[in-house]
Amino acid sequence: MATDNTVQQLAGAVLPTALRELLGAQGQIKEIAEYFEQAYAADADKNKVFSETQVYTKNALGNVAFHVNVVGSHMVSFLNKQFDELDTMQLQFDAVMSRLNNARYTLGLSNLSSYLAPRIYKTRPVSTPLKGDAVPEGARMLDRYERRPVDLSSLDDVGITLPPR
Amino acid sequence: MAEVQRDWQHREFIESVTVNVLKIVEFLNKFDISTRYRLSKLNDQLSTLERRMDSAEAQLSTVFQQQQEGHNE
Amino acid sequence: MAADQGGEALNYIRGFDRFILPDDTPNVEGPNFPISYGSASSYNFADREGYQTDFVDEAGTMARIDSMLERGTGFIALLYTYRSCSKSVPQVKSQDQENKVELYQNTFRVLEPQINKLKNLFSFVNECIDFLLEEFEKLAADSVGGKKSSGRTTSSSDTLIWKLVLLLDLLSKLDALKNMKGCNNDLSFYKRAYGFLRKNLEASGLTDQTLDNQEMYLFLANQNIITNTLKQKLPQVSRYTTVLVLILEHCLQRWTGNLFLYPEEKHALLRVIPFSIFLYDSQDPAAPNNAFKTKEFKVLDYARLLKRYPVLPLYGDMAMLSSSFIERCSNFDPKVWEKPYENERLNIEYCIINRLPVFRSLHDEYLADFSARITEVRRILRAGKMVSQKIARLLYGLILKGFRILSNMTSAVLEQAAWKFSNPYGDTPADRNPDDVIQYERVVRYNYDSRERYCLVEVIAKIKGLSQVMLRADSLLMEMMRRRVHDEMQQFVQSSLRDLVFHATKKKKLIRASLMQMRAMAADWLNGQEPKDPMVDGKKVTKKNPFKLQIPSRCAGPSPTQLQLLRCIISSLYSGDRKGKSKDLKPDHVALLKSFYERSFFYSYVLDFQGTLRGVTDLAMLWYREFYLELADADQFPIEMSLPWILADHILQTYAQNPAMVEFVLYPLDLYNDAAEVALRTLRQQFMYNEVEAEVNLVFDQLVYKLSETYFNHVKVQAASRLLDQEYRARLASTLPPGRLDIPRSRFEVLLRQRHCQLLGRSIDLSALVSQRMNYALRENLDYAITKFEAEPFSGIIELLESIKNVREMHRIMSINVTLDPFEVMLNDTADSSSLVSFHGRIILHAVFELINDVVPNMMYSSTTERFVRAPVQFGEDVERVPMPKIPPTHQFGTRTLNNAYATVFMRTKSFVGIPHFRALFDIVGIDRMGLVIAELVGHIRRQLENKAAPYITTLLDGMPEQTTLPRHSYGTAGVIGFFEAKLDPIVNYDGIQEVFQAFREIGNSLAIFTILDSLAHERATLGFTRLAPFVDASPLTNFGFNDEHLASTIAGIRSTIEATINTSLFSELPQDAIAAVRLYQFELNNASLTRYVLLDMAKGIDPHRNEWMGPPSENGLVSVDTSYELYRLWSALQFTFCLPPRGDAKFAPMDIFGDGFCFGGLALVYLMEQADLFNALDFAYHALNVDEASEAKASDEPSRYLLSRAAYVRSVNDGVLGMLRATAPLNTKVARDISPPADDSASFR
Repeated sequence: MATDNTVQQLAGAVLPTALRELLGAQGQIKEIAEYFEQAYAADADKNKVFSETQVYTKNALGNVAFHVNVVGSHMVSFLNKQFDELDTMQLQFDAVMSRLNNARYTLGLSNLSSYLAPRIYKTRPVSTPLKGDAVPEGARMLDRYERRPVDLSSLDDVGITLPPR
Repeated sequence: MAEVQRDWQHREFIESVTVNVLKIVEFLNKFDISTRYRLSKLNDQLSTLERRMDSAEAQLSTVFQQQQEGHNE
Repeated sequence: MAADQGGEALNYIRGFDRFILPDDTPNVEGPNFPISYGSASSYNFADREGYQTDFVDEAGTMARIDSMLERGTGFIALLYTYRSCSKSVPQVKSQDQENKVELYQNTFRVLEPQINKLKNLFSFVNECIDFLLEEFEKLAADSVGGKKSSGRTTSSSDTLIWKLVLLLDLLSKLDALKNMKGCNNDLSFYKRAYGFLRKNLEASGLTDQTLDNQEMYLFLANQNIITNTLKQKLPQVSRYTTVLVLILEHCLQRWTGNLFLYPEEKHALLRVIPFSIFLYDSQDPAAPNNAFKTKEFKVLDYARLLKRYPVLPLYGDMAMLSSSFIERCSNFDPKVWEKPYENERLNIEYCIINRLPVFRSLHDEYLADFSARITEVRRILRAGKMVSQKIARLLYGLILKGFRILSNMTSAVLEQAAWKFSNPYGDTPADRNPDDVIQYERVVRYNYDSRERYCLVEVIAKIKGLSQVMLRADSLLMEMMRRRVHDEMQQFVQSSLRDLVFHATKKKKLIRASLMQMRAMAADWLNGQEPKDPMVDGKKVTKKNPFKLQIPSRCAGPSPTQLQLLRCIISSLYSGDRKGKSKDLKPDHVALLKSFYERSFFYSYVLDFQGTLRGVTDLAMLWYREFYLELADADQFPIEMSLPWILADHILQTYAQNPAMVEFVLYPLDLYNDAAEVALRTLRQQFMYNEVEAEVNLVFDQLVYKLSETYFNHVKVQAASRLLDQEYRARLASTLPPGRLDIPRSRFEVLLRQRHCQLLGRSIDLSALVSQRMNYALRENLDYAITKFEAEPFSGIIELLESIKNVREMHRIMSINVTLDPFEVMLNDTADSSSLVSFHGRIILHAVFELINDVVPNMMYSSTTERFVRAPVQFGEDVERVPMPKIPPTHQFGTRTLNNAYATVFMRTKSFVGIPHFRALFDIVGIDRMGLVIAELVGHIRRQLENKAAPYITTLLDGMPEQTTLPRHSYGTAGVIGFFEAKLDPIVNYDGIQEVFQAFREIGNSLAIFTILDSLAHERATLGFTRLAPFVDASPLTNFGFNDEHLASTIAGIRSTIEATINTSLFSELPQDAIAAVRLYQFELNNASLTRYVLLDMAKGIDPHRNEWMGPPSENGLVSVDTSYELYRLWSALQFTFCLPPRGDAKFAPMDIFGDGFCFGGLALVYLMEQADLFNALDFAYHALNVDEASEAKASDEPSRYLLSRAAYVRSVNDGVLGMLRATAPLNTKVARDISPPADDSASFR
């Protein structure tokens, strides 16, 4: 029943009109009561008047039920829409807040880093080439030691050997 | 005693109207309770969000003040 | 027409079930809904002529009695809520007072309406008494006369007698109320004013009132006038005694047959019995009737009946002694009238605490039956089938049983209240002096002990809870019950009466006429006509004239008048003469009539389901206290004395002992709903409603306040005991009384999820109210913790961290039930650290303040334990801080025991400042805000260096002796030490030496802090790395390489797989974010060093003095060994004085005051001047140590031993410091210089 209208539409137009109609329905029942009173007094055929009023009351009741139904469904969809919109707003806000906190965090760290000097093993190059006359005459470069993994396979069958996997 | 018989019918009509009205009233009660429940949940979420929005605004305002001070130095 | 009863209305109504209406609030409140619709309408017998029965005139009288009762309740309300305004009327002091006339006129004008009301009451009472006498006349005549033409005996129906009973009860109530109320002093004021103004009043045409004023005065003044006048007038009616006996028998019959439902009816029955006995008994010679000896009725069974009920609730807060009327009988005879049971027995009978188990089992059983039956009916209806006869009958019985249970419970509560009213609480409570304890307090506040209060709350909860369950099923049951009553009635009228009629026509009994009358009046024949039924003409039903009866089913109960008239006829038929045997009917016929008569008694109750439910659970009278207000001459009582608040408050107060009761706390508030209902509908007094409303506002505020307070304390204790070290808690608990440290169970969830409690028609969101208060309370708690930290030295940070952890845990527990702001926002708000740019905050600022003003200058650092300890003698002046705030224990760690437990935990870290404190600082402030602390400390070092250390060094350098070569070994240690003391005398005895030590100590302490901060930063970095590694694919196998692409690539992978489903725009910028995040964390991983930065900064700081402190260039181009103008020489001197024992009057050596920080400071400077090695080689103290080690005879004298031990300690500290300095700030290694040996030996001989 509730067409898919936005929250504004619901709040702006749809709900107020539905409520106004519901209010109107209430007026109807009063009219019926008054009509019945005069008609009953004036009109001779009491039963006809009575059955007429019965029909009217039934319609009025149906009318009220219908309007209650309409207002109810509008209200429910109005609430659902509001919940969805609020959730999206909440998510967006959380995204903004996390970005904000990150910004402050990085600012803090950069502030802190101005008081941090990189550790020594970061700045000193592994080997510092000596300049110009600093090198004593007889000095010569040490040859670089290359690492050779020791081959232990020869020891495989010595001692308690585990069953080959 | 035709009136007594007809009286029964009339009273039945009145009873049926009252039963329907009672059903409408009962539905309205359930509807009221459930909508109040959801409204209050909505209200909670909204007010927390609002408060967090205010605190976020306050935080951001400190940044702009900083810039103003930066400018007019 | 019946079929399409509101056709389209029905399917809309059926459409209502389509709505999904979520509401998960637990249901813990009374039966009040936003809209209530009472559908019962009694036309007060207006349609009695329509039924053409003989009882038309009786119905007429009943109508008149009903209207009389209606006006009576109006007058009861007037009297009960009457508040005499005479106190506030200004008195005319003296005769010649000038505004006398005006005063009188005003009093007259004000009091006239009130007095007129009282006059109406007076006339009403007289009218009522005359009416009663008439009725008695008629009844007396009836009971004597013969049979009426229609063959039934003339005794009138029970309902009429019941109405008379109500009328008598009305009169006795009016009488009691009049006695209680002080209306007559209003009247006397009015009379005096009237007397004075009579002349000009008459002129203005007012009739002369002196006569009826006088009458009124008599009426109001003397007690019990109504009952006495009735008693005097009764003898005018001949044989009035038979009518009284009839009434008494009727009451007994009703009591034994249990033919009453409302508590009010039950109490009316019991009240009227003594009253009628009083009326019966008379001593005047003309008609002597002694109620206690008469044979007309056995007074004994009434006595036995009233033994159990000596005290009866009369109206509101007034109770009545059933024996009060009896004692007023002239020939009262105690022997005959048995005394009521003794007090203990009565106490047991009246106090519901003893009947609680019975009520509990009845209630629970019934609730189970009822809900099962209702769900079954719902299932049937949902399946679209009609509910069978059997189920309808079962339901009817069930509803009746429900009503009876509720009415028993309510009447028990009202009777207990009456019992409490009649025996007040004897002694006075300790904290009150006896004379200002008001009577109402004795009767209510101190009269219910704790167990009784719990029991009362539970019974109220059961009454209200059960009635709400029944009320919810109202629309479901309404239709069914109407059909049920209709079927039962038609069953009786159309089929079971047939053989009565058959019997009566065959035997040609007179009663056939009234039987036929009944059929005509009450039957609802199938489609309107009476079926041809042979039985009616006395012929047997045979195959020849077959007869099949069909009863239409109709959803409509009989009209009230129809039911009453039917019952009048039946009761007149079978009641016959006294012995209950009627000649015209066979015994089983009488039984049939009797059973229908008893069943139909309850039809009217079941039809008006909502009205009965409200009547049967009406506890409004527990709140009203007009009688005691009048007694205490007060306008209104404070809420502490009002019963509903006492109950609700008791539950919250004793939460710890009895947590389960907290779920019942809303039920006592329902008494206010009832009270307001009565105030508006029966008493119809606006001011009463205003008073109820005012009290409800106050009570609800208090309730929310107390609830939040109890909930806060509860969660605080829960969090505190959970966070306390478990092993410590267990051991501590064993030493304390049991249960002291248990984690309390929480029962608040039910209450805190209440989002719409109905109170006086308003719907209140309890959970929102509590969440507001909790938001505020948590912030307040954080504020307390921070202010406490601001009033404490730096060592208090451990307690601050613990409190913040505690509040964070509380926040976690609370946010399950209650929506709260996020904890970080709360903490930042209270600590004013929410700004994006500045890193200030109350915690950080105070931490920095403490470090710079207390820890660094006043505390001694010990490098072995890496702790700062307070020196025995404070060098600087004391630090003044914010005064310590007064914090309630509930805001610290809950209960007193928990506070003490936590205090002992903090005691361990109170006396020093060390790694745990700085770790706490890191945790609270967070790595990103530490920049401020470090900046301040670095600034502090620079300042100490420039304006303290450097000037001292330059001045002291001049004071250094010319030449300080190390003395030869042969002098022995004592000699060496003496030599140094003499040589360094200007330094040693320099009067500002303490200042010098202080300067170096401050630099040293700050440096020490940096070493600690560094180690902690390193610790956190590794922790961070281990957490982060898997995300950036940095693991030992990939030699810790950092590639940004890893995270980005995984996310891109994810994106590609689910590209189809999620719109890629959302994912587009995610990879870039990932890279940014990695880079963000990367920073922490190359763990740069704080101390290295500080040392480089200090190096820059001493550059200007570098050449000054280098001393003159050495002649031999390498190093000069014995000159003393270099920094390290000065430092050796200072260090030597540092190790000297306390000189002169000083009690403590400098080391005991300044700690290792001194060494840190000086050595750092020496190291930065690249003179560390020279220092190690040529230091005086070290030299003394070496000499002592080398010489066989160790120095034995005390001062040198002292110096040597201190020097040894200092050397070990220095080695540690040098190690640290070389590790963190290695200076560029010296260039190797080859020195060629001297060409010839000439130099050696110079």
